[in-house]
Amino acid sequence: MRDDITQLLIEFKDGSRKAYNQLFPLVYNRLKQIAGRELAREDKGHTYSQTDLVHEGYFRLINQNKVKWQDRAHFYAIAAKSMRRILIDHARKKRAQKRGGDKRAQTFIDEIMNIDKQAEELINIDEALDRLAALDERMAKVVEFRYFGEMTFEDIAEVMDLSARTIKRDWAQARGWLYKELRG
Amino acid sequence: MSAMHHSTLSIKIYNIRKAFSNDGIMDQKEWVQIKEIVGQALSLEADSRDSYIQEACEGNELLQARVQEQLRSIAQSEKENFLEDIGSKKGAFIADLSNRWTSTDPDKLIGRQIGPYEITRLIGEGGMGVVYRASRIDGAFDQHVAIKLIKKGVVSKATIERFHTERAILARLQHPHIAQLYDGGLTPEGIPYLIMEFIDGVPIDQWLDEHQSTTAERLALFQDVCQVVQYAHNNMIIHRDLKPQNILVDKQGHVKILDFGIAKLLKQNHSDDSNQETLPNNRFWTPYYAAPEQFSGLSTSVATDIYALGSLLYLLLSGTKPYNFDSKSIHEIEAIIKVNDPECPSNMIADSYPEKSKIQKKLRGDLDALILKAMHRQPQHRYRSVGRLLDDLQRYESGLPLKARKSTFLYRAVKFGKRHAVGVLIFLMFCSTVIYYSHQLKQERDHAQLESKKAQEVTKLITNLFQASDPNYADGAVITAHDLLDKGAFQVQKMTNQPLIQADMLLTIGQMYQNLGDYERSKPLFKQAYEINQHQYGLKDPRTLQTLVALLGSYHFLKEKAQAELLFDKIQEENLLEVIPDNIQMVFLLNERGLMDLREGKFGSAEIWHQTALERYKQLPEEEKDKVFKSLLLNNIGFSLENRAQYERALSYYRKSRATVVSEVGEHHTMSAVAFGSLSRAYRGLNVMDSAKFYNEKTLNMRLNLLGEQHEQVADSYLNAALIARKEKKFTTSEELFKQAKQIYSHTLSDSSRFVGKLQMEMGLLYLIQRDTINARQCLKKSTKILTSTLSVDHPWIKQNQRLQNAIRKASGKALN
Repeated sequence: MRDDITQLLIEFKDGSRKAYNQLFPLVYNRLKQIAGRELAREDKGHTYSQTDLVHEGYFRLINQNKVKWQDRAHFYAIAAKSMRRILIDHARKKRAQKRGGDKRAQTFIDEIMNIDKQAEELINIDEALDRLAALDERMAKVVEFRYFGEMTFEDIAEVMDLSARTIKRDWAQARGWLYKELRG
Repeated sequence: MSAMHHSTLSIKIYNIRKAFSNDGIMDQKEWVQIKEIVGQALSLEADSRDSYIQEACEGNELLQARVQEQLRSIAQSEKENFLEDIGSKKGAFIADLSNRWTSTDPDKLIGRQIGPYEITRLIGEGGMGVVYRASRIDGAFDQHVAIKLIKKGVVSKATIERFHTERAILARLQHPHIAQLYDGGLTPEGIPYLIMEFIDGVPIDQWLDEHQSTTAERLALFQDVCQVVQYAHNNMIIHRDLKPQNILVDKQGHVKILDFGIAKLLKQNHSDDSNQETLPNNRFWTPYYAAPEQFSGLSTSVATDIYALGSLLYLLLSGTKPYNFDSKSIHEIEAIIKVNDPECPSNMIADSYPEKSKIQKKLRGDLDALILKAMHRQPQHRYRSVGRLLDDLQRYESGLPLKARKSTFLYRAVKFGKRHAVGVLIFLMFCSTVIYYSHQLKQERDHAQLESKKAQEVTKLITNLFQASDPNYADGAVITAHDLLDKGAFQVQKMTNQPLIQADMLLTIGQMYQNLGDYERSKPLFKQAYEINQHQYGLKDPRTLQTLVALLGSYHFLKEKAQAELLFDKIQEENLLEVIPDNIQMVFLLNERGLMDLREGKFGSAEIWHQTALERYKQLPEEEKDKVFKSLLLNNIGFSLENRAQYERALSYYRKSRATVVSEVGEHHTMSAVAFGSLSRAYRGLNVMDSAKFYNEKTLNMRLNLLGEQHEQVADSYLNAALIARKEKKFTTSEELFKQAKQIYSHTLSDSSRFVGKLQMEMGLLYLIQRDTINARQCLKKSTKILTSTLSVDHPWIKQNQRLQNAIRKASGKALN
């Protein structure tokens, strides 16, 4: 199974759309599983970041012996898309709970951490990113990788087959555009 | 050709409109243009960007505007690190998603690091957040603290700044019975937190129940709480959220109050805080101890804490909360609390209390009245200060009539008929008397014979007293403090053959009555002792003077002004001040004597008394000195000078007064507020209007914060502001301020208070200056009516009033001509 997934990743790297279509649900489900269940079981310690989560998924799904670092970047790209969907789904759920007035569903932590506000913010970013995609697909992708995937500029450059410098410039412009949309 | 050109142009205009119309929709083509120009511009030096953009946009102003906007957004997003908050902003959300912090279980935060501390254990959840116990990570020293995480996110820059200022003020509040605030800040997720002294204690109600405390023990501990709150109020800090969960008792049985001023610290920013203060929408907020005005979002003051203290005493004595709010919504609760007074606590004794009917009997009457006065729905009808509440409690304990009750003859008569048992206490007091006399015996060999006789007499007296109250001798009657003292006083009366010992005993018993707050009974004993000693030793003997000062104290406490004045006259005539030893009691009485003159407008003689008090104060041993009291003396001297228009001299005393109090307790103190107010009036007298305004503003704000609007001291500040405005010829403002002051005086004192009389007079002058003789005369008429019925004929205000009447008469005469 792990080898199959690793093989899919290699094919996806070489441009196979079919490989991507098979790979995405696997990565998405695995990450969701890790996020929802397995990390919860970990006992006290530091706060889990998204990077921890994606690393976890990578190590569990992919046979490291068979891939190069470039392949790993491609995995992260799929993970970015997965994470976007996972986060936004969760944010929508939170919003629905709040609008439905289900006070009991709101936890203590919701209040203390301002979770509602963050959910709202995430949804806004997601929607603005869709608008940006209509205008400039490449930039929207950069943002998705960077913000939702927490990828380095080098990894993004690898996946998009562009120079890191170009990615950085795209990021600056896209971020400016989003800033105007969300804060302006 | 021209037609084609025209159509291209209109398409171009259409595109621009589409791109830059108000709905902000931008098409791909425009975006490509913008991002290319912006990209190019970014690669240029900042100073050559503008000219490049102008050129590249070819006069298309809308395009140019868009380009500039994009550049600004890029710069701003970079500055704010927009969307780069990896791991922190999304952090909490990811954690939430990953179900790490599920349910309402705040245990999940255990193990987290905050500042140099690691959370080790959950202590409790409250209205504002959750409290953990934490210990230092570096283990540098074994320090346990309590960390409070605050629920409502404080986000804006303004709130954070306010958070820091308030925290600094609270950190200064250092008292052995107040949990110290060490530090505070924001976690990476933006949760505000406070680090406080960790108190290992039990909520006061629980502690009292566990110890099966008696009503007397409950009252004693409650008084400790009051004293701590009073200390904070003197430092101008209001608790705002007093409740049993915030009042702990530690292992040594000491009260420790938590969260002083935290409610204010956590207020949102200044502009919209009035409604936020009590967080009414917060489901954790329990309104059992909140005052009605806190529901309305009105400003909180000392009165708010007094209400909470009333609720607390209600609970501690009856075992029941003042209102039953179970399963009621916040709006229902608000409606209940605003319309209904709570049931008398004596009718609400919890069934779990042993000897329910006995407790009921104890509470009925005085304690009912005291609690309900503290919990009055209208703040201005509660006790004016915690000190007054404590006074009434002490009066209750001494069996004296309460201020909380209407002083009818019947009530007083019943009150004096009642006695209560303090047997053990009185025994201890007599024992200490014996020890005192034995000690004297060793010290003064010369008087050995007399002293040993005294000691024998005291021993005999005590033996008699206890025999008399022994059940075998006296039908099993309950021994009470007053019974014993009454018996003692009676026995002493029979010692006519030993007048010196008798005088000593009279003084001792009188002092015991005074300790119990019964000045009525101590007075005749002091008087008798004074007369005996004067006859036996002469007036200037220290033993005579001691009794004289004691007698003077009784007159003062009983407000027998005429008697006190007579005695002071004697002190003056006989030059006794030179021989009365220096002690704080005498300085205190001299100050009171000066105040008597101040009230009657005798400013010259008031100044002399206060100067004398100050001289004596300086002679006191260091341990008896009290800087705040000294500041008050300086202020009182200044006040006499100010009223005789000697503003320069007044100012110099006021400055000393301010320096004295500020160096001792800082600016944040009620006495400092008094000093600032005085400075303002002196500056007004000297026409230094900027300083006058500055200090008045300062006083007013301090008082509004602490006392709320409806307080006579606030009215004093408004009155001063009105006089300042009048002097500056801002007549409309002045009139407004006068009215504001008058409303408060009428509300808190009475319509016929002499302060209202004085105010009406000053208002009359305001109208006269504006040649409005009709209003001026009306004000004067009211003023005359009040002043003549409250002051003596030679009071300066009466004279001032007459002069003003004449002036109005002249002015209206002129107007008629």
